[in-house]
Amino acid sequence: MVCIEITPNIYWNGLNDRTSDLFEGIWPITKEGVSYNSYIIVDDKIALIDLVKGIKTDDFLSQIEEVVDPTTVDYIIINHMEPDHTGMIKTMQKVAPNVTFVGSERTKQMLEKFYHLNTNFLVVKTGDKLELGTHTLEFYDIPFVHWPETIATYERKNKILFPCDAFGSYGALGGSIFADEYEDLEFYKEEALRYYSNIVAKFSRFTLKAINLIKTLDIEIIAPSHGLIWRNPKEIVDLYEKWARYGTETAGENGVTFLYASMYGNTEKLMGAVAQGLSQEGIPIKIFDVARTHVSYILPYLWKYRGVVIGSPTYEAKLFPPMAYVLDMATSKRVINKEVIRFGSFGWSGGAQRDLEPRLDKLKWNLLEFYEWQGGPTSEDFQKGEELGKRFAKHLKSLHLERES
Amino acid sequence: MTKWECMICGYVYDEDAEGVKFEDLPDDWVCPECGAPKEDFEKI
Repeated sequence: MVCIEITPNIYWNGLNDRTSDLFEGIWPITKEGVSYNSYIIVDDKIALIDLVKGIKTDDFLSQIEEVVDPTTVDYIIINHMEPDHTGMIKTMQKVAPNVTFVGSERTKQMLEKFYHLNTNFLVVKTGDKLELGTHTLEFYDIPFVHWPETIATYERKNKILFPCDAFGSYGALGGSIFADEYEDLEFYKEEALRYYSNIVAKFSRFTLKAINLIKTLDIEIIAPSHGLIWRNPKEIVDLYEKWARYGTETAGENGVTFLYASMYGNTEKLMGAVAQGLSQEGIPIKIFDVARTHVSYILPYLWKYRGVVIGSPTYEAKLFPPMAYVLDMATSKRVINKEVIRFGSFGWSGGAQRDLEPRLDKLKWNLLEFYEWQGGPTSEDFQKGEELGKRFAKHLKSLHLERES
Repeated sequence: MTKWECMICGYVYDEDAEGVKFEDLPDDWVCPECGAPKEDFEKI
């Protein structure tokens, strides 16, 4: 792409990545892509805000050249140390050897550990300012959104917040860099929730703190380091705030993430019956075969919906391993306070339930009931499965009504 | 010997080193590293 002006003398200088398969080495982006947004402010002093992953070096430098000579960059603001925003750091230091990096004290320490750079570094903390000429940058600590060293940068003249990963999203940019220039934002909103649940969710408490902080600033544009730029910032702030509250207060919307896995189809057969019971009560359900779906796509639903159904057989006296993996990941991401039922078949001794219960304790998930049977389900099992689904839906609906009232 | 780990940032509270049992810490005690509340800690 080319450098794009956001406001006079402030430019987007990002890269679209449509060829990496995994973000953070875990999360699939093969189909969706991702953007790394870097920004340039041209004034008496020239500043870059955040860099990009260490790919497409020529493109990155050529884009800077469209507006300034890259060797004359004075400051590079490192809001967040993660290498998808700092991968270009050694290159930039070689190109502009007199550049001063700007970030928190922790960023300074981490920069040394990650890149072994001996460089000019200006440490900033909440409230500190950096004059560039007509533009002034202000810095705010937003620790654990989503690393401990993270800061946000605010440009007061044009009222732009550069919060790095906060308010970011997967999804390569499709033509425009501005959210308000898209007819349909559904793809980006979905990818923002997937990104939130994969990357930020664990730090929801800190995200809420950061949101409270930025609400004290007069912001007209939010320019994150992944995904779209929001000239109607309330839209993305409201979404992030809603999602952060799912992790700290509300435990999610009325709906069910239906996780199942089946070795030879016996648990799958009852999956249909349980799902039917749920559907009859008119509750939203999203069904995932956990052996065939990457957890990245499951986490947004686990995050969003209050109910979880676990359909898992016993496998060698334990929970079916792909199901255990999803629950491990949910534990790691602090997907807590859900309402749960479980069903599943066993071949000889069972054991999945025994394996599951301590995992649920860790997750603080409330197991209402479970149903197990040996081998293939009978018509009685089908009926029980359907009733189980109905009871669970009724329970969720009553919780939902309680909250609404 | 009991240690508690902050599930948010990984900070470990060592009862032996601190001389105070985790359960005896006040309810409003927070993780010294990241500020997470007691409920975000688990025994390890």
